[in-house]
Amino acid sequence: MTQTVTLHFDAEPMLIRVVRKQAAAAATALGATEQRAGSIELAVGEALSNAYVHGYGRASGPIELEIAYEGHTFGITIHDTGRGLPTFPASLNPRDGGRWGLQVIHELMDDAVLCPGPSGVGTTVRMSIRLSGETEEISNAHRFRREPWWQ
Amino acid sequence: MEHDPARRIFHAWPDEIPSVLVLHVAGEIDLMTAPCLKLHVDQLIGRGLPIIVDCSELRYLDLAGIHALEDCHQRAEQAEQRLLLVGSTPLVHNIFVITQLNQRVPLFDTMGEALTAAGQEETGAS
Repeated sequence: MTQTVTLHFDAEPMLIRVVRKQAAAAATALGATEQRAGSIELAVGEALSNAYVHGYGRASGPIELEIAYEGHTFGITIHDTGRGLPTFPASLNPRDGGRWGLQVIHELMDDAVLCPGPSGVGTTVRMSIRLSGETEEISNAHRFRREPWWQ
Repeated sequence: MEHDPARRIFHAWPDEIPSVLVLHVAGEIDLMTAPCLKLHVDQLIGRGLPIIVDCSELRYLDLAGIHALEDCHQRAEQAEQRLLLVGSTPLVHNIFVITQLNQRVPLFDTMGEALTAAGQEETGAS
């Protein structure tokens, strides 16, 4: 079963900081190592900074961020309604036209794509990373006690 | 301004070491605090000595911070000063490597190594 959390907020530097920390805290609560939680914080921070700087031209604008967790995979989807990109790169690898901020995300996460937002407005970044086996141990421990693992 | 949130998130303080200007930075460098880093380094540019930016207490550094460090490095070189980086936590080191900043700006594991390199440059330049 996929568990999701969705946040709505305005892109601006202080809230970007708050939300990247929230994403890292969520990953930590799900068993991510400190290193993976740090990678998630940095990747989310870069994606949100891109929305603020490039999508909204350093002005505030609406962001929707969804965290989805299923089968040890921690996924993050970020939508903005900014000006988008004239063309979307085939991947976030700089060899395919990705820029540095996108390359950072590409390097930190297991999977990452950039595409037009819903109805063709703005930009959507989808990224995911597999959390370590520690999550499974936590999950099994709670299952043994016949309690939902998140309680 | 005490109420400036950037000051609670990022701290920088200079250190008095003969023949070298050391700037310790701690906390987080991101979109909000990268301009603060530039202001601190600006105060060391034009003083004719190598600048060591000690990142060993830096918890978070994103691309805005990388651009700020690169800009500081270029401005130091224009003023005929070298800028060196020392120390990094694993996450900070990761972004140095991903962006290849460590290939453009000298990066040392310890302050001792950076001081030695800065001292050698001074000796070589004189």
